[in-house]
Amino acid sequence: MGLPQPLIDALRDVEEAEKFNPAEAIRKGTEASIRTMLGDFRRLLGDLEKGVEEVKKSGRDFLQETERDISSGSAPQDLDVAIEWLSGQEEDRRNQLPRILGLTQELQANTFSSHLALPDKALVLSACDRFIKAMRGALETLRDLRWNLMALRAEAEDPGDAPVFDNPQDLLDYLKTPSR
Amino acid sequence: MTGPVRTKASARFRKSLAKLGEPLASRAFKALEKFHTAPTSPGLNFEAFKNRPGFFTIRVDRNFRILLMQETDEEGPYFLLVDIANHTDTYS
Repeated sequence: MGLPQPLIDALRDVEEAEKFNPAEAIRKGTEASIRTMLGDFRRLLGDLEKGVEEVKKSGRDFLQETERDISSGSAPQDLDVAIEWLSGQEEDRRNQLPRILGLTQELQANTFSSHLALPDKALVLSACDRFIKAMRGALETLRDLRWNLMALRAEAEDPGDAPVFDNPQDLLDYLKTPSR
Repeated sequence: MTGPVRTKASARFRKSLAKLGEPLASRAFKALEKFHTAPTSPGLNFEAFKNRPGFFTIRVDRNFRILLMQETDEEGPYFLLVDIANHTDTYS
């Protein structure tokens, strides 16, 4: 078992969405630039939503494959690598999120004050909401997949020979002692 | 479950905790101390892990959680501290 290739592929669509700068077109303010932006934005949104669904599906598949490996008694070799990779992917996207939220909010604000017709304004605003929801959905999916893999890994690995503590202070003293 | 509880730290948990360092380690100690005496206190947000029977999580802060697995020995049930990792709760 290696890194989940379908998941890597699906995340590319999410990555593309992060590069989009819709507020620029609105700033130019011409009807043509806004219409072009609107078309691009809706296309990108479609790709992003499809990408997030793919991320979810390939994540589920990967989880099931890992579950099968563990229940058949073979410890998955690359689980640590996959968990680290997922953590890195999530962190990269989490760091991008404030910028993306800022851009989307800017787009929403500029749409209100633009010369767009009311139905077009409604389209942009609804697309903005879907865009944010899809970005957050991608992050949640990566996080939940990683935590599920962490739980699966725990079922397969030796927890070590630490004592069981019923006194919290004893536990803390134990944790504060550097492990050998 | 009203507490008190018993716990055991896995080798992985110790490793992750050491890697994360301060100030997170101190926050984790506070959470674990509370968990031992009052596991269902609201700040800990002790909850079953969705779709994984026997697994639970407690909150360390807004961005980190501890993963727990319920186990049993001759003295009864205890919680294995499986791992501590980022779990940003603010996506949704």
